[in-house]
Amino acid sequence: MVIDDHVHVHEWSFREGDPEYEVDFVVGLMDKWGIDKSIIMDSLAYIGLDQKTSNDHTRKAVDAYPERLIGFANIKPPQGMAACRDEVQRTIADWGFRGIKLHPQVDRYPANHRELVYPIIELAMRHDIPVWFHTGHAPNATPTLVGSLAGDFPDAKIIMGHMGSGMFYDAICAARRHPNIHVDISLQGGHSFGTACREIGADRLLFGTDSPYANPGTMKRMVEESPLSPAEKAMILGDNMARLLRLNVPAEVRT
Amino acid sequence: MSWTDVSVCYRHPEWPDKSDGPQLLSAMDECGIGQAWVYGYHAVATHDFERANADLKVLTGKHSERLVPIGLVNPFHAFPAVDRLLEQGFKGIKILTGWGNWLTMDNVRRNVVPIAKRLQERSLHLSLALEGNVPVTGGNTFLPYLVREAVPDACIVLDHCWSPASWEDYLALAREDQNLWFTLHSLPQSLLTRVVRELGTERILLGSWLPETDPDLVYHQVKRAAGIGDRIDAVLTDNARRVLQGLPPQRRH
Repeated sequence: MVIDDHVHVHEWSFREGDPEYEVDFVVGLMDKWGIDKSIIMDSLAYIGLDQKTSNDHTRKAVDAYPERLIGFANIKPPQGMAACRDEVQRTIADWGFRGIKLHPQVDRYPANHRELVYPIIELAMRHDIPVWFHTGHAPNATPTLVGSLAGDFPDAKIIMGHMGSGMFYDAICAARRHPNIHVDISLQGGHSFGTACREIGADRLLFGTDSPYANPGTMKRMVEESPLSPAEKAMILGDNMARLLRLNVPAEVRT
Repeated sequence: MSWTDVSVCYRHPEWPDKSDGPQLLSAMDECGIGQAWVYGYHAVATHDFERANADLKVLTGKHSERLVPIGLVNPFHAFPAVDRLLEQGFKGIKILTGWGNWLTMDNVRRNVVPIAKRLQERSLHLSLALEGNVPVTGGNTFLPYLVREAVPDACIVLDHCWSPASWEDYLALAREDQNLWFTLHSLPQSLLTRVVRELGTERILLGSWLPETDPDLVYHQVKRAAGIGDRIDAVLTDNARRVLQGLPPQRRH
């Protein structure tokens, strides 16, 4: 099963009225490139929309394609911890979303902030779900800070989004240090991907595309045409994420 | 009182009239710098590291009480240059991460780690100038992390840490690696104060990169950040002395 770990509805680089803005377009890309499931989140949260409305959008998309899309909740700690707790309850416990997305750069807090991030990690651990961190922007969303956080919560499931973007070596070093980090490879290229395969291992890399901002075919081909074994490619393309999300575990047991 | 400036550019290609020997010594006198660690910075323009180091050796030989020679090498062709420099009495090696030195993880292990090992064997320090003309490709912390991983007892100085946006990462690294030394340079005062408080005065050096920055300006910024008055002179000088001996920072009491 191929799972794309990072896809957006209402991608902010498009506008209402653009076909790319809508969930049908996103699912069309999945069909075109042979992607079975995608983790989806609404992008408008990154240009000012509140977490609740943004997650309503994500739910609408998931409801339209429940077999293809898996919701992750945009959580914005600066909106207050009580609101965040309520939103986690609503999206994760009530709706069945499978993870949390944090964007420390747009919401302006260091990724290892004790008051704003630690409680979110504790909530995620209580629900046994991963937390997906945007990384690649200093000073707040860097792989070094996410690594520091992972060290403080060795049992938390941390996803290093975009493999640190331009800070890819820092991301790789953080993942080597902290085995609870999985690394999303979206927006990366052949050199950094190859280095990550060798340094971290295929069992902690996650296929992700940042579609429709980026073309999913580029990323998928990079994995498929790499010198990895078929088993390793399968891990990256979907098995690792399925394990992380416990997709093979019945929902009633999972919760 | 006087203090030690651990980063001074000899023959800076952009300010040649401010960075020859007499001008540097004059600036040191004006700013109360007792001793300066100097490197032949014209190598970044000429890529002739051998000539730059040789010129520097002549200068520092004439002023050995005040100027300490630090070798610059092209990390991709570091040997036997490093051995030769250490035989000549250079007191450490500085690696520049800009200027075309693309240090991938493999390149760090292949090219920088052997230098760190050689320096460690001789109780000398390795200075990593983290930010060249552009931020280091690949991130803020992997370079010192990989060197430390390979040479746990290496005396490592992080130099040229100018970018305020990178300091969250440097501080996170500092918490993990208590033996790292940090060169301070001009930063926004509030950030500099936070940096000094988090690192402790035991781990700080002052590196002005004269003539790129007025050392007097940086000195007063650091003095204000440290909040220990004139005792900062002794702290900066004693810390620099420890680094010259390849020692780690003293533990905070």
